[in-house]
Amino acid sequence: MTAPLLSVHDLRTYFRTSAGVARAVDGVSFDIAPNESVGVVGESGCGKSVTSLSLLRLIQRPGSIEPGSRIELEGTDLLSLDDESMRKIRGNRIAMIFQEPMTALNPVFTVGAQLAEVPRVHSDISRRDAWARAVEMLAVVGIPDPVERAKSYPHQLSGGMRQRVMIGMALMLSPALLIADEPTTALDVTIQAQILELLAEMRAKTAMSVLLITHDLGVVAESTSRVIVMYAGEIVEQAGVRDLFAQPHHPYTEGLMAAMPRAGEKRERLTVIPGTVPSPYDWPSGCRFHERCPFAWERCESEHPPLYQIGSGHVSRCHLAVEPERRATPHEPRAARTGVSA
Amino acid sequence: MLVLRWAAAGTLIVALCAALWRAAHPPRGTTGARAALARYAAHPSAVLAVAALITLYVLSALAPLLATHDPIAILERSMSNHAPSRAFLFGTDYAGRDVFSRVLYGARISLSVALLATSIAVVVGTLWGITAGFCGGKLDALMMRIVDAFLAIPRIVLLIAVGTLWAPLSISALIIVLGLTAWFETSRLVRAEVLSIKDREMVVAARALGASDVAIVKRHVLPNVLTPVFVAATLGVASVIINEAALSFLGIGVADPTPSLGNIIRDGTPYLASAWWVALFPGITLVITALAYNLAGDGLRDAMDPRQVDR
Amino acid sequence: MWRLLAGRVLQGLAVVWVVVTLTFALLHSAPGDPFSSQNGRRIDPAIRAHQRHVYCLDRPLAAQYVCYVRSVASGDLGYSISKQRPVRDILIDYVPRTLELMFFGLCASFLIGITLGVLQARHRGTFVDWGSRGASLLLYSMPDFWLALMMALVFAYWIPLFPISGIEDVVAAPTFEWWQLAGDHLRHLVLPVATLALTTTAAIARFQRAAVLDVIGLDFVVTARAKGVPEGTIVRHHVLRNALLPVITLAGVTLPSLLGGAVLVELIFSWPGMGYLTAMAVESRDYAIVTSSVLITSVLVVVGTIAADMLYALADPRVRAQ
Repeated sequence: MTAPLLSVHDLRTYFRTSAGVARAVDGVSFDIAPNESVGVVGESGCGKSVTSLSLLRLIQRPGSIEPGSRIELEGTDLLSLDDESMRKIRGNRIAMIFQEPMTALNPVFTVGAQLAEVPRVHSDISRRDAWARAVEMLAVVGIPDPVERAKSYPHQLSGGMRQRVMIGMALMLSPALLIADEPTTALDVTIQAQILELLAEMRAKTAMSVLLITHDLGVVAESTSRVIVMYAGEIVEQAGVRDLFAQPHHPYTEGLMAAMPRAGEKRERLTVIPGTVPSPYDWPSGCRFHERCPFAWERCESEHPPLYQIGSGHVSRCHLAVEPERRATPHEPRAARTGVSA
Repeated sequence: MLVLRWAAAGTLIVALCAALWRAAHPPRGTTGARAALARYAAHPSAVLAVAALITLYVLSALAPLLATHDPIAILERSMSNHAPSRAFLFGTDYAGRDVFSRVLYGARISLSVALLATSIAVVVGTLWGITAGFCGGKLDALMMRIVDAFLAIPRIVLLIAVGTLWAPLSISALIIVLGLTAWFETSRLVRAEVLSIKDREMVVAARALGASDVAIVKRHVLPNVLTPVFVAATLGVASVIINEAALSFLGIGVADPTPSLGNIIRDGTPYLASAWWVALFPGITLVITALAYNLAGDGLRDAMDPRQVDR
Repeated sequence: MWRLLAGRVLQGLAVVWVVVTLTFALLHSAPGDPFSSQNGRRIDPAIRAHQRHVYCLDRPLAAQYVCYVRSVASGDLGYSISKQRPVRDILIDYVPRTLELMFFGLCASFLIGITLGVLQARHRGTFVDWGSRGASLLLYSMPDFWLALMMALVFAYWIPLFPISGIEDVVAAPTFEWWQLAGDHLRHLVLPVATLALTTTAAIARFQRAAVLDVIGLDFVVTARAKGVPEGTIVRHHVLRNALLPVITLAGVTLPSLLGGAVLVELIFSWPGMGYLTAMAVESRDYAIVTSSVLITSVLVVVGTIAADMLYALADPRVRAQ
């Protein structure tokens, strides 16, 4: 077992506002190996974006990472670093790309300038050399006519091209880990495929790890080798991608998969998980999914399940792991009955 | 006797403030206007502003009862330009008149002129904006070009021109002139609101169902327009007060011997170095009034616009 | 770009034309005959004849209007009763001094206002923020003439730092070297410029603070942080470049208010500019000067607004590209 590239242990990120404490990320632990592609899936509000921002310590007031959390990059605890040292890691050893490339790029600077900024901020490279590398990177990410394009402004490029630019910006210094927060959500389906292909290509070239955050199971199936399912600020299931799709354990994962419309299937209605995601100010007691779960029983309401080992490399936060016979007696989830969520 | 009247005035002020405070803290769960009022009351500065305004208006309205001396009567020439004392709380001016009483009466005039003028401005601006926004096309372009032109002229310059050409101005003429030069921003606001509402589905639907334009305006446009107009009006009163003071200071506003905060300052200007109190106190009153209206307007703007941003 | 400029200039001309019409309407609807003598002062019959000719006073109203527009367009703004000179000549003397005040006032208020606004945004919530915001609001609520009086009282009478009035030391000037003249001139500039700038600075700071706060919450700032850009560079380079844009549009609103403030400030400090001229014209009921003031100030505002719009277009690549 090689040493993990990134090791997250009991990460908790809370937001303290006048409305109370929002426990957006509440005890998340996982590892990422070198040259591995890991996916994080979940609905909006489950904490996946906050997790990714926490990894780079980009969480601002009123949120903060709670003491007791640990994030280790190749052995160094990122949370104990001072601001300047952390800054040197961003864009350099760990890079991040975001969902909406139009707003994620500064509208008043050229694309080339924004690319060139990355090496200039981390080393003493000259302006000319930085610009040359920027143009090079544009070519690498597949933008035609890179010399001219480098002088364009973001609003002059299409959505797909902007996302390529973002990827290029992230890869300028060959980071060991790339965090991609919903990189394809804002793009057309055909462009989505191109971007995912580009990411795969880049991974092959540089042997970098990718943490791919998305709500789209299709993307996960195609581009990752291991999947983490998040719900209500916690990890509820983790498995290799094949295992997860073949044998989902947690009822939430099952629900997500059932909700995916598949081509060729004949169904009259889309399956929906009843109820809505609870509020991070007020997570439900016991298992956080129990109000929306078709198998829940008394134990689920009172006892918060730990991550049970299901198989090799497969864990699930569900009491069904120790009482599998309960699967035979599904019922209407409480949220469906009252019509309201927790 | 005077002390009793002051005590009564003070009690009235406290009672009004308390009543408003009660109204601003409704039971949980109320929505709409009362909820907005509650949001407003959450800002301590806005609350203070309203309290200050209540105080100013009550005190100045009751000026005849509360003044220590006759504001117009010239007492004795020998009493001119005396520093503040127990008898003359704000001192006397060059003509031997009690500045404190003059400020009280002057505030009365300035505050009521400002309120009336702003009302005129609100009505004219709203009508102009609704017409321009609703009719659209060439009429809209012409109407807004006229507004642009007025906005390009510094307000005081325009007021001076009108004031000089029509001198001397009676108080009602002054109110009208001030009002007719203060409606431009309001018309722009209203027009913008009308334009955004015109295309909304509910209006298109109402039209399709045969509702007349007037009815559409009443039911859809006016309620939405009220909020920004109210905020603009509150902020507008502050600038009208200052403009009236400026005109009175120049001699084309409220004329001597009727006191207005502006012309009291005018009286004090030639003696600025020796009798500085004459210019100081009316000015402070002006600042407090304008500040209160500005704070109140800001608070209103924040209360009506329920954005969660923690600024 | 040129098309944008042409468009703006045309709009500006339309605005000026409306203002000209307005002054015509004012002159002709006011009681009394604006072109005859006031206060018992007699006009030289030759001047009177000139006026009749230039303003077509013996023709019907429509023709008078055309005459008026033509005269204004050619620069003939009438004859000043109080100064016994053509208005145009008077303005040539007085307007540049107001422009000087405007220039320094604008520079000072924008420079200080922008810096203050950025500081307030960066230190949001701290004493620096709400302390200076409170002070700004206070200044913004002051009548400029009263502020001028208080400034004069404190800094010229009580603490005799600056001269109370005028544009130069009339007594000593003839003996001054050029650098002494310059220094003296600057000393006389301080109080009027400071008074004018104080209220405008407050307004600009308020606006700039909001603009910076808006921008600082935008996505590309997060991207910049994720790239490892230092926080200081982010504010100075990424944020400011975007947050300064809306402030340029403020010029359209600050110009009229500065010009208006100039009237009273110039009067109180006896700074012989156009504002001083206007204020003096009130006493003597000099119609020609008062209406010319309206015309000139609006032209200045229009020119300034066009310049600001062009500057904005240059600065924002999204606009420039059109």
